[in-house]
Amino acid sequence: MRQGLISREEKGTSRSTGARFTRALIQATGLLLAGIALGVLSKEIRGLDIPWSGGWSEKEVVARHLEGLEEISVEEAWRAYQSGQALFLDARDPGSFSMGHLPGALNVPPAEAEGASEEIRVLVQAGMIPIAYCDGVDCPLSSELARGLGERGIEGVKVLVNGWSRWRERGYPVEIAK
Amino acid sequence: MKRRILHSRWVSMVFRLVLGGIFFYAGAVKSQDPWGFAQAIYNYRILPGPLINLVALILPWVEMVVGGALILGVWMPGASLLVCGLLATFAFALFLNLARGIDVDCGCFSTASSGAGNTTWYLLRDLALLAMGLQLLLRYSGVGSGDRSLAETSHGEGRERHCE
Repeated sequence: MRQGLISREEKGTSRSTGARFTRALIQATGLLLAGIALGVLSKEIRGLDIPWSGGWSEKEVVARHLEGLEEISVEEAWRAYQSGQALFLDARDPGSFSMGHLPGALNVPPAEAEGASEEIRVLVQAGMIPIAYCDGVDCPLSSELARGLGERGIEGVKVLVNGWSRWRERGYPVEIAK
Repeated sequence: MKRRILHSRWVSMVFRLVLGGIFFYAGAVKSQDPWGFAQAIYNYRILPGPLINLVALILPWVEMVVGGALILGVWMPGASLLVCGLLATFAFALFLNLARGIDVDCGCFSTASSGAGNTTWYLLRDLALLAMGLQLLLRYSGVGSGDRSLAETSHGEGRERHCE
């Protein structure tokens, strides 16, 4: 008798758990569809310039990062270094910087452009060529730093795309932070 | 005690307002800069290129809808299920990048320090929010509680199931 009662109750609970989950799932789907509809409407009404798809091949990403900035090749950067004019600006995080960086580089992550701008301005006015770099073909940090410095009046910061890897591939000298 | 916290209406109210506020605000900010958000998605290095813009254009609105539902207390079973689904997806993406050593702030491989530190912090924050979402899911949908009344009333505290 008792077993029968428990069995019926468990069946009832099981059924209602299923029903509750179905209800939650239907509501979640409804909310999801509402979000999708609003997203589609928003793009059409606001006339956003972002396409529904595309724009993220490596080439396109690099081109977008470099928009309005000047790129420098690794050979030109090497020549600037040999002539003693290169001012390397390492835009990576301090941990990566401490494990190795280009000779004489200053560690300036984009968020610290403000604090470092005075020192960089003085060096640029003395004839140094500011060259920002990070690691990875589509790494945005170097271009963000170049833009950040440009906004603070330091023009002409060149971007060495994928600088850390390319510099090492050539076997050029690097420094390890003490 | 644990059961009381799990089903407390006051705890649920605070959790749904906190989660709703965060989701609505985050969605609103992202919807204003779809290119910036697309770059952030790209930095995670998980989605294939053709899907990045689609997600960048839609996800902020899904977040705003679910955030609004949580704030208003509308369709709570569905809203809490969706919020848990979203937070679990974000946690998986963060965990994956932590394991691969990718700094999600820039999409760069980080040798250590601040990059991994940020990702760890984002993951812990996400898991804390997921715990809130799970509390809401248990309370409002009753899924997994084994107590029908919890899902149907808002006075679940202290109720026990008696089989004998």
